[in-house]
Amino acid sequence: MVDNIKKYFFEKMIFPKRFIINKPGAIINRLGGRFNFSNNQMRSIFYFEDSIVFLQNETEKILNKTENYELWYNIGRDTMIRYILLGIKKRPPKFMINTVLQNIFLGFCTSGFTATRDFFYDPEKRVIILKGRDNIVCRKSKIPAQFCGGISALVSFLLNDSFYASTECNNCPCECKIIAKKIPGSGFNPNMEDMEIERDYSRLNFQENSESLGVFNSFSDLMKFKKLKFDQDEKYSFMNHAVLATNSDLFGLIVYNFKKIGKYDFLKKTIPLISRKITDELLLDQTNIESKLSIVKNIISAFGLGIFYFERSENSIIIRLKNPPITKFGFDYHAFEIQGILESVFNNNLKLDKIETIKKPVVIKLYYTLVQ
Amino acid sequence: MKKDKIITNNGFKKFSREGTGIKEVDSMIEGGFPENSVIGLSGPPGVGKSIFTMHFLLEGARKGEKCLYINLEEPEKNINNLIMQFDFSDEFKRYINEGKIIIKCYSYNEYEQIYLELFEKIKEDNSLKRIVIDTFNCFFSSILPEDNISGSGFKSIKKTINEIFSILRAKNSVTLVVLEDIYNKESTVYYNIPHLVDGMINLDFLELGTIERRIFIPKMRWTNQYKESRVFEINVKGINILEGE
Repeated sequence: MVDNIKKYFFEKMIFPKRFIINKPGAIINRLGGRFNFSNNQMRSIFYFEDSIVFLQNETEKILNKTENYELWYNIGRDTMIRYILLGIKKRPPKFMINTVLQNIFLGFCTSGFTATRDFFYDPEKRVIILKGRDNIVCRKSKIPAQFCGGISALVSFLLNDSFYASTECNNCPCECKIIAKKIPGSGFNPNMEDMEIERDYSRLNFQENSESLGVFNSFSDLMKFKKLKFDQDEKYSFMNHAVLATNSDLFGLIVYNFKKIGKYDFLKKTIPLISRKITDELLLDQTNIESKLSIVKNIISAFGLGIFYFERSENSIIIRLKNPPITKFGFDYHAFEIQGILESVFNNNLKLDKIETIKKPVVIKLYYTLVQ
Repeated sequence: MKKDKIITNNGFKKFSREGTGIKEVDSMIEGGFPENSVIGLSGPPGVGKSIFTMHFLLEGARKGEKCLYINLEEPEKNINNLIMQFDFSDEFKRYINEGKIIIKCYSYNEYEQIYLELFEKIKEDNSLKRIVIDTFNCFFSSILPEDNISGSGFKSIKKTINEIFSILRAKNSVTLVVLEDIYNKESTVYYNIPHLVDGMINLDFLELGTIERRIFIPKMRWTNQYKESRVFEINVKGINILEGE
């Protein structure tokens, strides 16, 4: 089974067929061809499982369980809506629904969402049941909300009806069970005003010319060099940390949803702490700043966040990211994340002063000050 | 001197092979490069392509073969400085003095004018058994700069490359063409050369704290090549392929 999943992952899911452009700084996920007639592209990024696990758990400390669940459910739902609008766009014909669902859930499985290993669809009762084990992120956070939100949006779209997904898991992470049930209301009605794809999305995210000064690595370089390992839990890991991919909207949507509940300042404080903690672990064996920066530069580039350039003068640091993923939800999350990374590299606190987005050529500049 | 060629049977035809000079690389390609082949050697700057070619030339010279090394980027002084870093430098220099290894360096202005003559000279010299052109894609960026390429210009270069490869293949020799990896590998400066050669050896490195170098062999016609990559390092012996993957 594991070999089949691995084979599927490489041959069908991500490389080389799914990502048509995988170069330093940019990962472009191309979908389509099988169930629709247009080639759909979206910007993807890789991230560490722990970054979301820690954030979900930290958030639960300031919200009650229900509020936290609702927040992450909305984040998962919104991220999936954007994925649908960018990547899937058209519903498959009804007679293909079962095949489509099977194909999609198998794809999820190979990305680490192993709760979708077994799938059952009852069209009469309008119920979908997913079973598996060891689903990435919620296996550690114990908060399945984000995944459920995503499943509900996906199923609602494909079946053109209103669905709500919840869990009946046992002995987490050993027995995952997600049930998506029809709820009152009809059709798939996302908030298009907020979720609609911005007109310049393609122009900003699919730059043809991405030449860079210096040598930067792509994600496929990490695979070529066997730095990406498939671990015993059927998750991809890099430097002993599980990694997974998402459309690049996720992190902007995290900020968008936190802002809606007035918790932006919490993110500003928490994301750097989490990012610093993870970076400390990744750079444990490195003793000098140059080698730490070199690793950071290559990870950021390989994970699809743009080509990373670093400038320092006295107390200020400017990070320039060439061809980063750009969405209308902003770059704040990544700016805070990079703050934490730099805090780890320099073993010093930083303050984010400004995020500057330049659209021609596409560059994001992050300005930080070292805090004494 | 009796030539010691390796014969393998791929089930259809027996091929004579020329050793690369690095025994572990030979074992990855059933003993060596196929006879009369043109092999591409690509990789980013500083990964070890020129050193690889030194092994290839040295192997030929040891067998008594006449070998030609053409450099289109560096002056001869730089080539000498490169050779001096390795334990095999004395032996290499001896073969140069004996005329078994011929080093020819051309500057940018020169090869723009002489490239056709150069290949005519190679065509006429039947004693050459190993040829290295370092770097091959240089020729074409000088003739037609990348920012000035039009459809007809590109077609004309492809035609020229095909003609050159025909000349090289018609000789009883193996040619190694070094291809500099431009940072954007989809650049037209590659002119589809990987599709036109008989084999590709790719050297690459990854920097994650330390620098790790790997050799990949994505293509080798008429050969059941080793599909995985191998790690290598560069030391005083030159390129040293390490155990394991």
